[in-house]
Amino acid sequence: MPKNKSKKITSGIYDKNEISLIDIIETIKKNQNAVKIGSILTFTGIVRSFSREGREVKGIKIDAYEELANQSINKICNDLKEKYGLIELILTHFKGEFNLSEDLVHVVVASSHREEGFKALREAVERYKSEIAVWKREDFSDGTSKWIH
Amino acid sequence: MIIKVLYFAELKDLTGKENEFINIEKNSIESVISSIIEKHPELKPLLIDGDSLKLKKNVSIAINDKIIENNRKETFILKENDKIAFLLPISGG
Repeated sequence: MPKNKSKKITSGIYDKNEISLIDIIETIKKNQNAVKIGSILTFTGIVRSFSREGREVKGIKIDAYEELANQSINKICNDLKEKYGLIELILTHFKGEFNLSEDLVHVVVASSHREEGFKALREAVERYKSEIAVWKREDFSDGTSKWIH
Repeated sequence: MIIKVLYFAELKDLTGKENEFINIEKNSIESVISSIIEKHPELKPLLIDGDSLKLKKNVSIAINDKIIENNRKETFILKENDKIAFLLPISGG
């Protein structure tokens, strides 16, 4: 698992609250090509209080197969950096147990211009949703739970 | 032959284990399925259709941290100490 000792953040699976969005942005601003960055776009997925079926959610559990998930995350980042000529793309997904409104995932795209950044951000979000070995369990207010597939 | 089975998500909740070592008679994935369903019958409806030992189409397999293609599931030959995981459909946050 990627570690955070030097605050230089790399893409991957992290424990809940192990890093923040600010840590990621600071890492990007230390990139050797940082002066070429004109746009930093971010997406943060957080815990919502209701399920797709409208049930009241009190929390979320995320489990991950870290070795596989990290492989897929790195592939997504490398693919999109090359496709859109990005200066940096950092994707971090958290695992553990989460309360409402807590952060589950950050996607941060740094590019010279905003156009390629917006396209890459959208594509990165759609890809992590379908490609990385991560599972979500919704814990409902009535005491029941359901893994989402 | 001893191999290691990893459990994630619902499979981890149902077995109460992150992983376990099992002894299989044959070096096939079918032998692993048979063994873990015998130990944990509650996994059966998640992993296989009916009474066959064929995996559901939406269940993927990873061996030693690599996904196995669908057409290799029935012919894959396991080795001692291999690490196998059965992966239900994913759902990122």
